[in-house]
Amino acid sequence: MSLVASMYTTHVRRITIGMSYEGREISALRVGVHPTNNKRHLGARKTILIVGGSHAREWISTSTVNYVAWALTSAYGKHREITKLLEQFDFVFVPTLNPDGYLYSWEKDRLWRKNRQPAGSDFCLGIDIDHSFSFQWDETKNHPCSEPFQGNRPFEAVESQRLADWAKNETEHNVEFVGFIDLHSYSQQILYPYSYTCDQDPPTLENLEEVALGLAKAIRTGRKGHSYKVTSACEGNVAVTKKNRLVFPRIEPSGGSALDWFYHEMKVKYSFQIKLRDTGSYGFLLPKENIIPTGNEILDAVLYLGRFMLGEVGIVAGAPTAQEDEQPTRAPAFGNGFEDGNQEQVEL
Amino acid sequence: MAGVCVCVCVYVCTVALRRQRFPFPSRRVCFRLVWPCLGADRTTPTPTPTPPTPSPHPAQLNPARPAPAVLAVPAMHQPISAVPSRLLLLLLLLCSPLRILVVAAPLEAAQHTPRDSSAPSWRTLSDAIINKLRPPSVSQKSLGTGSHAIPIGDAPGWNLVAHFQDDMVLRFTINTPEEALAFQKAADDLFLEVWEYTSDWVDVRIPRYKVRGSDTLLRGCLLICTSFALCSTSSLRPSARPTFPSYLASTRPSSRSPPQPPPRAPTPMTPTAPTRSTSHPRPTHQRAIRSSKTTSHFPSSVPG
Repeated sequence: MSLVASMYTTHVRRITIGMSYEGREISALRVGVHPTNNKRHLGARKTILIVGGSHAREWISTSTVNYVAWALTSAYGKHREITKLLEQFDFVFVPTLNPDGYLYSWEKDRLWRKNRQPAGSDFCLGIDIDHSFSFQWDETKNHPCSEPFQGNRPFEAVESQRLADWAKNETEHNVEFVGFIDLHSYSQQILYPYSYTCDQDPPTLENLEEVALGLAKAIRTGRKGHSYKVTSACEGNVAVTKKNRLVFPRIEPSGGSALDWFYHEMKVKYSFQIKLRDTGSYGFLLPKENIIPTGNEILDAVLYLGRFMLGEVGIVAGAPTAQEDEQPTRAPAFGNGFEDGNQEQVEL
Repeated sequence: MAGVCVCVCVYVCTVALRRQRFPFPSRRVCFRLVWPCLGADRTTPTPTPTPPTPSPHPAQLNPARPAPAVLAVPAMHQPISAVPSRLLLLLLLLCSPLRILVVAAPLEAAQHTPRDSSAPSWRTLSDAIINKLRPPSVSQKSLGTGSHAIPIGDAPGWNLVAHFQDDMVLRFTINTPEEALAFQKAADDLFLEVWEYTSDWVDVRIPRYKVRGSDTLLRGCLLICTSFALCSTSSLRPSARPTFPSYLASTRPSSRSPPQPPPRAPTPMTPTAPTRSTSHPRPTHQRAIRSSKTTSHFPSSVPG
């Protein structure tokens, strides 16, 4: 990450979300080109947050975040669509939200899921970061040894607290989060809020479904990627009959998710959780041959989300109109010019 | 007889060293020295070829470290059969200052087993001699070359997946609330580790002994499941190991060899396609295994 930030100093900055429980840095890359025309009031900078590695064993999410970050970074100035995207939006990539657990999965237990924070048990460590956010935090007492243990109180997991604090702080400094993508594995699903219940529909359900279906289509048709199922996160967690909407008992508690918190608390209109490859053939133990194809799938999804937010596809309110004759002055870019066409694929 | 002589000599040396207040567990060292000597009589090691480009000596990398004694150099670079090892050992122990031995001995072993600098010097000495007399097996030799060589046994991914040997992943297809309730109860009672779940199925990682020992609880769930897939008939270990770069490096084909297919798990977790039909209410383990074998490793269609 430091190398990328040093290579592309014009549009990449390495930032720190905070420190993990064991004192490791939660690093991130902020990618975007800020206009330098001071005469024009631009308002809050629209930002899309892409997070991976909340669960330690889901290595494909970490590699995918890195892949997309590199793709956008290196294509700036060479690819018309990405260049325009980076001029309109900031992207913040957090490859490993759970560095302690990630390292533990490399050195001790390949299938470790939680962080490495003690939480009331002498025998079992770790809190599930994705269940420890404050919105609709599940109060049912789980055993600390269980995999989805959400902690004893909201935000007990240090990493989730750091991410929330950082996001709130950003919004106080001229940043507006307009998109949130939380990458997990596996099962190839695109999930939208709410996660904690199926009884409550999100207020922007229609928009969420529209974009989620578009993401799935972009993944499938962009480079002949795999099929991703689109559903509500609550239905991804429990079994729901399709006809009379009978909700089955939950397999695991699903309150306190990052997806719901960013959607409800941070008012991020387009919040999604994407569960990456595969559908169970290898599960978390995905062979390396899937890294690049999965990265391309999510890159296509991110580009679609960008096109949607730019108003080029679908119907979105408040999309920035990218008028060529009113382009603000840009920071120096790499490359000699832009290629023609908006739909060209990014070759890496 | 020769071993006894060596032992006596070592013991004498040990006593002499102890008089210099050097912590030296004499019996243990004597045993560690004599045992390989006796074993060498039965299994004479084959000469190991000298590497064409030996790695630089630590003394070259670290100028502060003194160069090894000249006396010990032949013993390090000649095959064991070409050196009167016992005599040399005896001479080394009796005639050489301990300081020289400690510096000179771990020349080759240090490349394979990074050692804690705080380790006792006597242990370093004995290990080096034992390694010389009984070279490490092929499985313990380095993956690479040079000072960055990593022993296979220490490479990430080899030891870490050892405890997955007895684990397996099961997929349960859930179609009714009763099935979901039964599974939830089983998961709670057995502390099952749910890997992933959708509205259709649940994957569970479970040790084999839990499957065997908790037959009653699981059978109660299995009986009501309309479809049950035994995702992996073997352990997770073959699937976990290729995810580590060390494994990839060890299986990387050379430039001359033809391209090989990517490493794949011998028995990947292959779920059967969930079936909604209730015409087969009681699939058994055996039937599920047969059906999983006919399923492609890379399913072309996915749920949804």
